[in-house]
Amino acid sequence: MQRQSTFTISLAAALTLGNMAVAETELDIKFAGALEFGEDGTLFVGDNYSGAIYAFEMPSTAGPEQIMPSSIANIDAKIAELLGVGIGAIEINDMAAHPVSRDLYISVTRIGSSASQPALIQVTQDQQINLVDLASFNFQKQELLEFPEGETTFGVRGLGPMGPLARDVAKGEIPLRTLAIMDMEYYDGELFVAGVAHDNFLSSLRRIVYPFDSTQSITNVEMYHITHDQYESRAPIRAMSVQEIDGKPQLVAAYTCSPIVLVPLEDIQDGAKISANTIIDYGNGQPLDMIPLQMQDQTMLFVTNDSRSPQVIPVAGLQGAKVVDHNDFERGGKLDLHPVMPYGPIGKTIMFDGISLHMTLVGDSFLASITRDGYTGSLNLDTNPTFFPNRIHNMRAEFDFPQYKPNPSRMQ
Amino acid sequence: MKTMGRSINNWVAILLATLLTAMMMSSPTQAEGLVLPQNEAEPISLSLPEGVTATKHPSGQFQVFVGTTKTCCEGRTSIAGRYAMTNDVLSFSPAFGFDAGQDYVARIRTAHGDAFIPFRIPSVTANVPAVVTEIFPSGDTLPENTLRFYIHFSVPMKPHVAFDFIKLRDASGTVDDAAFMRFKQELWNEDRTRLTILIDPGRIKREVATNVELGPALLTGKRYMLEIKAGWPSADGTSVLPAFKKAFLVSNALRTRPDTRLWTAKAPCAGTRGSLTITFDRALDRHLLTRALRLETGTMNSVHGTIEIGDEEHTWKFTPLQPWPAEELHLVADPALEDVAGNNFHDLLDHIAGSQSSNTPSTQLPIRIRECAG
Repeated sequence: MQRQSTFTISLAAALTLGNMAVAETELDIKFAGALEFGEDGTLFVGDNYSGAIYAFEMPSTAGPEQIMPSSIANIDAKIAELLGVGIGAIEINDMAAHPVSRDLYISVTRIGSSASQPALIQVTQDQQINLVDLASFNFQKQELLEFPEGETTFGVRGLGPMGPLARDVAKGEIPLRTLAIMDMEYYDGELFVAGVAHDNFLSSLRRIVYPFDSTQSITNVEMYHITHDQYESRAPIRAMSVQEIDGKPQLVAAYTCSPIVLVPLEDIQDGAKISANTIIDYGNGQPLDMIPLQMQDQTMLFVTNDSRSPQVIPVAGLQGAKVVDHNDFERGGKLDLHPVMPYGPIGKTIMFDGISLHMTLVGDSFLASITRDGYTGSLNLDTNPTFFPNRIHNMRAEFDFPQYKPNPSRMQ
Repeated sequence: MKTMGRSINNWVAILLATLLTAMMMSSPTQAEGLVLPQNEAEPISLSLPEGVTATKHPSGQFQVFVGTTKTCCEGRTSIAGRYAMTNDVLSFSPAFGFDAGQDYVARIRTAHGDAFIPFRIPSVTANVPAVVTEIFPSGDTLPENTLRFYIHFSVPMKPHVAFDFIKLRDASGTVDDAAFMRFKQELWNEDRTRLTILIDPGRIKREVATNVELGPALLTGKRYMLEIKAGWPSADGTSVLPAFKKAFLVSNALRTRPDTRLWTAKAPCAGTRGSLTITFDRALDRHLLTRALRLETGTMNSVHGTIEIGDEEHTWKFTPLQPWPAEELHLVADPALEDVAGNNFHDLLDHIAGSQSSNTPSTQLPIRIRECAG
């Protein structure tokens, strides 16, 4: 960790040549994971390694009126080059768009030959890729209570009667702490943080006032998982958004495999153990991002997933949704093909070519995505308008043929 | 927004085309005035010729990329970091430092084209320059039948080239090419920091062919120089050994076996942790000494402690971990312990047939720990 502190000092020294104020406390961030912007440009960065959230004041002048859609092929290679390592030596952890400048920010782990270090990458509106000097910003740090230690790893299980395979055993090498900060949601002066805490009732929601005043509350969350037919209190919320539902602000939260639940903010109280209200289950998949946006004149939640195409859920459909538990279904697990799956006001599936691993809304009208292309395997940053959020890079449709001409007489 | 990377603004110098033309190198792998980093924390720097002034965007002219020259640098992103200008030297420090083992290419752009200079950071061990740290026997007077030299290096050395560099010269400067025994396999220790070389035993053993033909390599009363010529590369190729010389005078051959009865002991006081010093009648083999002597109590238990070998391998100093017991101890020598001429307690390296002395040497020496007053 000595290299980290050297880096910090050297960056701070570099700053004296610029006009930025230098933060009073030395920056000691060890991992840049989940990202979330406050509306004024405060960037919250989750540090899963040291169990803290950093809030960087990153005010900015307004970006261009017309948002420039970012399109950078092989974004991982370019970031690795910028950080001075080979392409395999970086991991991309999250992406967020600055609410004022519209620049994209990408949190990265740089795996050097002697240490892993955090880095924040900026993709500007003119498509420049820069390393952000985090030490140049004023920041606040909130250490998280009941943060899991780094020793406990996931259990190893096989499938049915089969013993664990190599891929299952590999899971046993991953510390639970990697799930300690899964998603952050800034809402009305407070930061809501989903992830696992340290005890046996792992799944938790933290509620922290910003600016940080060193107080925080932790609530343990249980929910009924329709697919698994069990009450779950360990696997954490993966992605979430605060929406006004049934007359009060509620967290809409997505879990792995793949329920969506509601948690009224008023229930998130320090020390409480609460049951979330299950309203949806897709029966499969692992959610990645949940992005509220305006489409077709209504608020939608755009939910990406590493195992299925993105889902667009009208918030209107969540109003008055039936809350279910084990009494509402026949008992037993219900996988993809079970007749009740998918269950609830699930919205619609969006065509999306490739897998969006990180997605964020830029302004009101663009979705930027770091996408793994299914054919080339390359990792690309590209942007689609919210009125047509589909990625169609590899599609060869009727419209693409050179002979194609619309026939007005046969159009409706 | 303060960022680092391609769009570094507002400070340091731009390199004018004239200056860069002046710096264009004849070889694509060298650039005049370019100083490459020697460790992970050092910057890469470029000296600018006198009279060059400028102001902006040094990254436009001088950048560092990951990878090799072959893959550089069209469409590539240069490494983020900061530029600094001091005394006409433009330096670049990557935000995360350089990593040992990583390939880098520095690109210097000029009006007349680009120069690409590939480089790597030497590994941590290679930051230690190659030098001879010790040589044994360490004395400046050695017997005529000296058998072995141990040469210690600061870093692992390149093998199979030892005798391109190691020479034995006589006082007139003449090199004796046949002095050393050549093995197919050089005698290195495990990490290749210690080389053992042997004077060809045929030159030592009387009435053996090479001895009869060439005579002994070393002659009593003469002066010699064991020389290691400059230029021997370290194993990783990042360092080169400077010249090294050991001068010595040759004394009479050692033609008796070691014998503990010829050694003296300076005993410490009981109840203390003072050192016991044994003085030999001759220099013994440096490396065998580290393990060939031990101290035993009357009940055959070993006394534990640390040893130091000194006085040109004539002394062995033992400091116990526990205070000395008030009893008689025995110093026990492994009969395989040799002197510098390869004679051990059983045998001389070289004796005229039938002439071996029947007087068996002793391998034990009683040590009387003293009772000291007060």
